Amino acid sequence: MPISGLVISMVNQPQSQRDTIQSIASDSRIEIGVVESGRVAIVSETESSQEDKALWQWLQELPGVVHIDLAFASVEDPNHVDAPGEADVSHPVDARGVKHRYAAASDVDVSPSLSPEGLK
Amino acid sequence: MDADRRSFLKGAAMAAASAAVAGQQETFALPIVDQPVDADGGVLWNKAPCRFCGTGCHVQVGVQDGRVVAVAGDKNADVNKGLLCVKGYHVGSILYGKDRLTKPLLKKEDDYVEIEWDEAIDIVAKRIQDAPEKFAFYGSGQWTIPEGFAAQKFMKGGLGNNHIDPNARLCMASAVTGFLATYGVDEPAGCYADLDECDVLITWGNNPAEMHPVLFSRVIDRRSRGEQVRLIDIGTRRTRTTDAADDFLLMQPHGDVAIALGIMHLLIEDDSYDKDFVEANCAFRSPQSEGPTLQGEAISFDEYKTRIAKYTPEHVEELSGVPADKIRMLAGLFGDRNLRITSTWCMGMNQHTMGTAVNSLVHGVHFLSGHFGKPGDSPTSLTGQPSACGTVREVGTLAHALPGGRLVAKEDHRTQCEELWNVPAGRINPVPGYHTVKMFEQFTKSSADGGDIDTLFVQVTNPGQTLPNLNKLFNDKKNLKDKFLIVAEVYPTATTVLADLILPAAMWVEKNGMFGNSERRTQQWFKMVDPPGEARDDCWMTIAIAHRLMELGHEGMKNKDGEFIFAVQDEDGNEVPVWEWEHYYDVNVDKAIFEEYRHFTTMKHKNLAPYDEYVKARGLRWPVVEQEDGAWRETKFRFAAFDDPFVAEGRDIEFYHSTSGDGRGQIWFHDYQPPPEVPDDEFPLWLCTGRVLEHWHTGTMTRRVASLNRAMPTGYVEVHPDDAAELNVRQGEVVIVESRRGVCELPVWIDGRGKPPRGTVFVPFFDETKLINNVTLDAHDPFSKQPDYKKCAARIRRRSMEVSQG
Repeated sequence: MPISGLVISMVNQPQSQRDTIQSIASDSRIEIGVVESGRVAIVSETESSQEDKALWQWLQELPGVVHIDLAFASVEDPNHVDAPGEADVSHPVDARGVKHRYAAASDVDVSPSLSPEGLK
Repeated sequence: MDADRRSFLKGAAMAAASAAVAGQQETFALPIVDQPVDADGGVLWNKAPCRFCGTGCHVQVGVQDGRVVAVAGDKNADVNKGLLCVKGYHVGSILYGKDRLTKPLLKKEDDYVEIEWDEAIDIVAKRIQDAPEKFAFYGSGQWTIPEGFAAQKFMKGGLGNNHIDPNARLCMASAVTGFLATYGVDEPAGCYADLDECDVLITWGNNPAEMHPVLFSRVIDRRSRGEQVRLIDIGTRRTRTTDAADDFLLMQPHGDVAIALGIMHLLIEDDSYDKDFVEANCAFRSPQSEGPTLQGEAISFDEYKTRIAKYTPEHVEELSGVPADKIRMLAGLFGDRNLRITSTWCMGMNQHTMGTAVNSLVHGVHFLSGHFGKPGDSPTSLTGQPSACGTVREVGTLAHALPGGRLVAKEDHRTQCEELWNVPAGRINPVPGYHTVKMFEQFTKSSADGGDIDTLFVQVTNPGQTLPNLNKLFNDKKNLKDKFLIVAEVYPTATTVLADLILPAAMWVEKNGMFGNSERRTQQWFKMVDPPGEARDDCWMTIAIAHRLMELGHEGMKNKDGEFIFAVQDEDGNEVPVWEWEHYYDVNVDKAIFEEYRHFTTMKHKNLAPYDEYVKARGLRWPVVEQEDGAWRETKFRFAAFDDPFVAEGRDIEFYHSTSGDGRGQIWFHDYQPPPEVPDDEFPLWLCTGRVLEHWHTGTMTRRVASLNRAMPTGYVEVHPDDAAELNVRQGEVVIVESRRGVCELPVWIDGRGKPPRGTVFVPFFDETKLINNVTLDAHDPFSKQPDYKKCAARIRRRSMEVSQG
C-alpha cells in the first residue's frame, strides 16, 4: 500500500486555490495538511503503485495545480518476503563507515537473465 | 502492512510534506546526523544523495530488517529542501529487481557458469599481467569519488597506462572544454541559488522539466508564489519545459551557435555590452586558422568585432530558423543591466560537434553583457550523472587527465602526482590514452587489423546501449574471440550480453560512497544495507585486482617504499588486508582514499574538506576552506570577491586560472559550421535522441520499478502529424528508423509529450530492446571528443515497404 507525502503548488488565485483544495479533499484516499503560500501538503494512501500513479496523474491534471513535488514515499516491493530468523535493525556499518557485527540479511531471490533480448 | 507501520509511515509522510510547505521544524525532521536515527517503528533513517541525476537531491533513507522501506526528501538539504521528483520517489526500489546479479559469471562456450571471486580476480589480473598496455578501463560518472580515484591510481599511478576514460566523455566533455577555454578551470562559477534569484531563465536545448525536475520546480514555485520569472526555451522540439515557458524559440540543429553569435553581434552593434565588465575582466580569443587548439590565440576587441559583424539577426535567422526579432529580443534582455539572467544547458549543447565552441560562446554572451558574478547572473551547465563532476571531472578519470585538474602531458603535473602517490618518478605515462570512441574502436577491431586493446573492464555503465553507432563501436566484439570484456554490473544489460566475465556489484546504499553534483557539492553517505548474494563494491574489485597483480610480480602495484599502492591502516596503524572482502569494511576505505585524494585538489583551487566534514553535512560546495575557528566554509560563487576566498585583494572578479595569465576570462569567437551530416533525399529526416522523465538514462534501474515501467513501458519515435500522414503511418504502428549506420524498430507516437517540428523525429534511448544508438552518428567535437547524439540524417519506412533501389 503506497503511502506518499506530496507538496502541491497551486495557481496564484484565491478562488482557484479554494476550488482545488475542495477537489482534492473530495478524494477519500487523501489527507490534507498544511496550506501556505499557494502550496498544500497532502498524504495519499492507495492500494497499489498503479493506483498511486493514477492518483498522481489525476492531481496533475486538476486545473488549479501547477506542479507536484514529492516529499516522502514508502518503498513497496511486491517480491518481498519477510526474512525468517533473526531480524536486525542496525545498519551494516557504524558512524565511521566501518562494519558492525551484523547478521546477514536473507538472500533475495534473484535469477540472472542473460538473454540477448534483455529484460524478460 | 501492519497498522503500526502504516500509522508511522502516514505520520512521517505528513510531517515531511508539511515541513516542505511551511518550512517548520516538525517532529519528523531529522537533525544533521552522524549516526543513524531511529525515529520510531523500528525504522532506521540516514542520509544519502539520490542515486540518479546530477541535481544531487538529498534523501532520507529508511531501513528496516536489512531492507530499504521508505525514502523522504531531506528537509535539511539545500538542494531540494525536502522535495523529490518521481524518480527519487522510487530510488529505494531500484535495489530489489528480481534479476540482480549475485555471483561472478564466466562465459564458457555459449553459456555462463558461476565461479568464485578468487577465480574471477585471478582471471582479470592474469590478463592484465600478460599485456598491461593492451588493457583499458571504462568507467563512469556514476562511479563514487573513491571508486574513480582507485581506478585512476591503479591505471596511471600503477600500471602506467592512460587508457582509462569514462562514460562522461559522452555527456559532459564539451562542458569541460568550454569551461577550460573560458575560465582556465572546469565547473560552474555559480550554484543552484542562481535559480532563486534570476529574473530570466534561458534553457539552451535542455529540458529541465523532465531531466532536472527538482531544480526546475524551484523556478516554477517562484512563479506560483507570484514572482516574475521569464522562462525562454530554445530548442529543436517542444517539450514539457516549453509548456512552462513564456517564449519558445524553435531552432534548427546547430542554431544555438548562430544565436549566441547573433546576441553578441547585437550587444556590440547596439553598444549595449558591459564595457566596464569587459574592460576589467575579459580578453578575446579565437581558434587558430591552422591546427586549432583548445587554447586558441588572442585577438583584439576590434578583430572580434570584425569577425562577428556578419552575424546579423537576419543571417542568424537563416542559420538557426529563429526569427530575427527574437534574436533582438534576446539581445535586448542581455543588454539590460537591471535584469539577472541565468542560462542553463545540458546535452543539447554538449552532445554537439561544435560542443566546445557553443559552450564557450554562451559563456561569452554572459561575459560580454556583464551578466556574471552576481547571484542570478550565471551561465551554468547541468550534469546528467550523479558524479560526472565529483568523480570524472575532479578526480580526472579521463584519458588525458590526472587528479585535481592536471594533465598527463605536463611534466610538472606528473611529478606532483607521483610525489603525492609516493610512486617512482617516471611511473606516469606522458602520452594521453584512448578517449571513449577511440577505446572502443580499438577494442572492437581485430588484433590482426591493429586493434590494440584486447581486455576491457567496464564499471558502473552500459556502453552496449549508450555508445553511438553501436555496429561500429560495440556489436563487432561478438565475433572477436581474442577480446575479453569484463563487466561489473548490478543487473543484466545490453553490455553484459557480450561480456566474457560478469562481476556482481553493490549499488548505492549497499556501499559507502561520495558523489559530486552539478553545483560543486560533494556529498557523502554510509552503507545502510547489504548487497544481495555475493555482490561486492566496485572499489574493492579494483583493489583486489591490484593486489593480485602485485602477487603476480607487477612492480607497478607497489609504491616507492615497496608497499602496496592501496595499503590502508586502521586507527592503531596496523595494515588491514582490504583486498580480502571479509576485511574490506574493517576500516572505512572510502575515508582513506578520500583523505589521500583531497591533497590533489588545491592546485586548481577545488579544495575539499576532510571526510568527516561531509559526514556531518548535506554536502559542501568547493572550494571548502578552513577558517580560523576551525570551521570549514564552502564557496557558493566562484571568481567573485564577495564569496570566493581566492580572489585577489582589490578585485571584484578574478579568473585566477586565466589562460591569458592576467586574471581575465576569455570571450571566444567561433565561426558557425553546419552539422556533419544533414538530411538529404535518401535520409530526409533529422533524428534527435534523448531521455524521458520516468527513466534514468539506459533504464537498467528504473525499468525494474514496476510503476515507472508501466508509466513509460517502451521506447518510441516521436513524429510530427504531417510527417506521419505523408509517410502513411499510424499512431502506435511499429516502423523502421534507419540511417547509413543501422536500423531500429519503434512504435510511432504522434502528438505525444514532446512535439518535434516537421522533418524531425525524436527517440529516447532508455529501452534496451530498441537500441537507437544503432542508428546514431559517432562524429565528435574535435577538442572534447564528445559524440553528437542530437542530430543525424535518418528516414522512416514502414515494415512493409521495400526501399527504392533507384
